[in-house]
Amino acid sequence: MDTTQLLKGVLDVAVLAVVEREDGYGYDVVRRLRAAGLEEVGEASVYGTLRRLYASGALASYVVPSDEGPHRKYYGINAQGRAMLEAQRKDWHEFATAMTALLETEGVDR
Amino acid sequence: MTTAVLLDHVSAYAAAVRSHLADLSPEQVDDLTDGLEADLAEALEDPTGAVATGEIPIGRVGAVQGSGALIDLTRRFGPAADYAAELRAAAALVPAPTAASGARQLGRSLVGLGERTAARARAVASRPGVAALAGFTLALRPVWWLVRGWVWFVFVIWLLRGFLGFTMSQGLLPTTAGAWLLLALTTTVSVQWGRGRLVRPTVLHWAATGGNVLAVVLALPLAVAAWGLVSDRIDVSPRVSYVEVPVYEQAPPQDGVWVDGMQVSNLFVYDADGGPLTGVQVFDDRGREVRTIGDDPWATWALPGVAEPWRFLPAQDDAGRDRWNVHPLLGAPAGEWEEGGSEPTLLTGATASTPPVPFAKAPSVTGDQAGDGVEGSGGAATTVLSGGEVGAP
Repeated sequence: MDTTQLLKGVLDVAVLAVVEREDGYGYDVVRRLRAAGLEEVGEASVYGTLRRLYASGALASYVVPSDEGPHRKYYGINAQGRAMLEAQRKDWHEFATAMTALLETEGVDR
Repeated sequence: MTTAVLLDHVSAYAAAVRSHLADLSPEQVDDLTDGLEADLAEALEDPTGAVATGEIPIGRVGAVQGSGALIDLTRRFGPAADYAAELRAAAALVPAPTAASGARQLGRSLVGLGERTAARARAVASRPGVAALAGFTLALRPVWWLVRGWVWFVFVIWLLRGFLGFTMSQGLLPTTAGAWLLLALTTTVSVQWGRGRLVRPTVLHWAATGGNVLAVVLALPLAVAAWGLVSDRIDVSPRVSYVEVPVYEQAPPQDGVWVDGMQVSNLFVYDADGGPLTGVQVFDDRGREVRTIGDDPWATWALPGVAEPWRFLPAQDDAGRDRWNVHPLLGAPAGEWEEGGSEPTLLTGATASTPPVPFAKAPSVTGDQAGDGVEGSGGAATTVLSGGEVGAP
């Protein structure tokens, strides 16, 4: 199965979940997503998602200057983001439960 | 590979990505790629980074090609065009409309400017010191609400000044119950607005903004003016002030004899028949000598109708004491006096004489009154006339 297609649908909630635990900058979020098992997540996709969530008001953003190189843009979740995450978490559980039930039924049938 | 060289490559790649986003507005590109260099650099230096969507961690590139090799970032991140496309798709950004009117372009660039400024402000605000300062300032917001309420109060008073006839001092600080009520009202509105407790429909938005701007502009000058008033009222520091208080001062008692506000040098006494008398001793009701010549016995006196001023001499009593109440005083013109000694003396050959009398004979008085007035004092009625004016002593 092409997991990149699956990822596209759940990248928002995944990014929100990561940022909810701790504020993070672009590649930091990528690394934590990959560490969580989403190995195939695209960096540019994560960056774009972060920008979109920020633009929609779900994330706050702040810039931290770096002594050695370019500045890092950090993202943190806000109240709206938490509400969005909660709603999507609920959706995901329902979806996953349904899918799991469906797939296990098929498995049992098989 | 040094960080500097790495950053050069990263910058070049990021620039390439941006060039593929050129159809977006500059603000969108900024928003989308802000911090991209840092992310790219970190991704390159992360040897544990998983290879995904064709990306090759630089650690592995180095291992393959040997250290120091010129790296081709497209081998790690893919073609810049694809990277840009993925970025754009994930951000769900649509290309900016190309055929925009001039006004819209201006509006968008103004909005962009505002967004960029806000972004920079956010960046600055994220620094620890600035954040602390911002927190402190935020805590002072209620003070501003109160100040704003007061400025509104002053403004309303100013608007109503023709109707109410307020003076400036009344306009700055409430002095009446009505003014206090108005101040309470404006302050309440300001505070409630600050607390977000007021419903603010869009129509009111601009009014509210105007009110804020007005308050910002007027706050300082009004505060200075009000402080002037307040400090005038409550000033406790010692301060010299000159207050004109009418004082009715009693003129110090003057020696001598005054007639109608004019000091006289001599008295001329006439009897009941109007004939002039000489050597008359004059006393007042308490038995004191009536002296025309005061502290300075040698002052010169201007006599009416006489060009040269006169100086007078006292009479002598039996004991040789000077008697200044014997009228008319005798004297001589100033030119006949020797000035050299401790006190002037008459020149040799000069004699003291009676100064010119006002008239040789006074009108006679009728018997009854004349008799009453001089009973027991020699039997002759007298008329006293003054003569001479005070001259420059």
